[in-house]
Amino acid sequence: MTNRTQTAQNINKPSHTLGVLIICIYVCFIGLPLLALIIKAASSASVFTVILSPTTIQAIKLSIVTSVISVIVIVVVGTPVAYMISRSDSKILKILDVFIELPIILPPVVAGVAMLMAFGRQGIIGAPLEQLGITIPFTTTAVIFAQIFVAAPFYIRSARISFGAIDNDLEDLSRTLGKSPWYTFWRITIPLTWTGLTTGLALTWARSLSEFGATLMFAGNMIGKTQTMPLGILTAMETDLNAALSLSLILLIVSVCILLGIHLLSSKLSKYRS
Amino acid sequence: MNSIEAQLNYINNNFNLSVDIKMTDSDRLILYGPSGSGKTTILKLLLGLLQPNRGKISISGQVILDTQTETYIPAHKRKIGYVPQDYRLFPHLSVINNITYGMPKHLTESQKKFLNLITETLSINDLGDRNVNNLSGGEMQRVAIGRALSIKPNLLLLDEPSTSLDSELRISVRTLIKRIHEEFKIPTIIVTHDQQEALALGTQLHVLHNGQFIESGEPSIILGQPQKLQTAALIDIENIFSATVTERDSTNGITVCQYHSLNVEIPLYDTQIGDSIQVGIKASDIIVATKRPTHISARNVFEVEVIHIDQDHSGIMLKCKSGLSEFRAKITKSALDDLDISQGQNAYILFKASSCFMLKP
Repeated sequence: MTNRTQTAQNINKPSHTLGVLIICIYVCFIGLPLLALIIKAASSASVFTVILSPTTIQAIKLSIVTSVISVIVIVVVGTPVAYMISRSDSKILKILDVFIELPIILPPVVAGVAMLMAFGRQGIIGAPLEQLGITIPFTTTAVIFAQIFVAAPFYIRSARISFGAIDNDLEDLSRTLGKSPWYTFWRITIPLTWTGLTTGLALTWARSLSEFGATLMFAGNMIGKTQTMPLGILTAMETDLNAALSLSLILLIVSVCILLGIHLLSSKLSKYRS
Repeated sequence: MNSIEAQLNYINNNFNLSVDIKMTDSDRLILYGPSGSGKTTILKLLLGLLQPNRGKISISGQVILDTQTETYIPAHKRKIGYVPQDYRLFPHLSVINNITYGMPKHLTESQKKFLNLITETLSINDLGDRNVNNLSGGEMQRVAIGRALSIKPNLLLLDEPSTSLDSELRISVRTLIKRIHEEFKIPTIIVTHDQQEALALGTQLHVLHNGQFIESGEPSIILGQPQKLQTAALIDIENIFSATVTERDSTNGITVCQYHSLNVEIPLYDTQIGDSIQVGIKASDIIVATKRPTHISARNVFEVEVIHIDQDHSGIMLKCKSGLSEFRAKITKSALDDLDISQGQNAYILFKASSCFMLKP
């Protein structure tokens, strides 16, 4: 037995070393640029000046407000859509599932152009809306539209997989115990899919916050109106590298805070529910 | 008194289920059949988790489903308790939250008393805050039964209640189910493919095959001496053979039939001389002797050659042959040791005429 264990350890040793090496390379690849950003931004004398400037505050505010609204819309609309797709055998819904995931592989710039063609002043829907006095492109609403378009698939995909993995018999059992489908959804389905839903939520929020290409094409880059943090970084890069570094650091901190916050909330709620 | 009446017709691809159930609260009805025969489908139709193509279900006169009048009470309003085969406890809820899941959030005094009665009857009052994932198989099952009882069901459905338990626990679960039935007076339907469970728990039994009840009646009669060839095959009657009726002795209530070279005496049935019939006898009803027994009441005594001895967990199966006639006899290991029989040796088998039964196609 001991010999066999030793042999297994000997066989595993090279692959284990290789595995550790690959992990180290990957961690360096991801960590080094972030570390470089933090060091450079922190050593910049203008970091606090940039953070406290009205332009930065406006960009931070706009990024957070628009991404929060986008995430709320995505969760409210995406959850029932994901649930229906996971529970249905309908071919139409299966095709819809593929269609929903399309923005993941679509270049964001193409998404921005496509949204202009649909909601732009000369667009299919945009033109009649314009006649009614409703303008979408190059407004804050356009920023939200762009974020929803690009980020929604991340949540819907994660939610659909989570709903698909849940045991249908548990939902059936809840119904036999006198509970309505709605009650069952809240008391059984949501708690059992909580981890998947919050993972999707974190991904979709991070994607909304970092959205760039589609926003630039469809909403433009106007300070206080459509200039989100990523667009602010682009603008700063053209004139002031230190300002760009400071903004990047802030965006990094905000993103990490959101991710940590969601994970903390998720684990607290999981404990509370169990 | 609760009474259940259900006529169900359900078609899904090539599977056609058509059954008729009638029972009262004094009944523990067994649905006995092999996998895929439609047992769980019947439960799901009763629960409202599947909808029949045609059918009617009424509980104590209240119609909960009638396809003709398009009456359909959804699953969550039927008050039918269900204990699935693998319990399906809610993994994110504690034991007490599983049990009270179907009860109102704020319990009245009488509801609290009822909850206490359930937990005491099932001996689960000390499991309260435990995580259901850390329970033993027996505890999980008692919690699942408690959860089903908490809604004060008009009908209780148990799907293979002891399949995943060891033999000791199976016996205690059977006792528990009987106690629950007596205490709560709920008509109970039990799905099983275990003959011992059906015999221990059932007051009536339906044998289900390909979505149809092929035989119904008292469990001890149907599982002891079935009337249908299909039932005999389903319950693994070890000796089924074709024979020709040669004599009918109505005075002694005996039919003599020829099984190859042997004349076998069976009870008197409505047959004609020359009829070809199917006869069954359980291997456990055949006695084996090494010397020809004399002065005994058994009507059938034959000299045979033991051609095969097979041992499994339930005992020893002897395959015996006399000319072209073959029999299987089941004896215990200690009986085999006492008889000291080995393969190729001659022996005598004997069985009563009343142990034999005629099987209809």
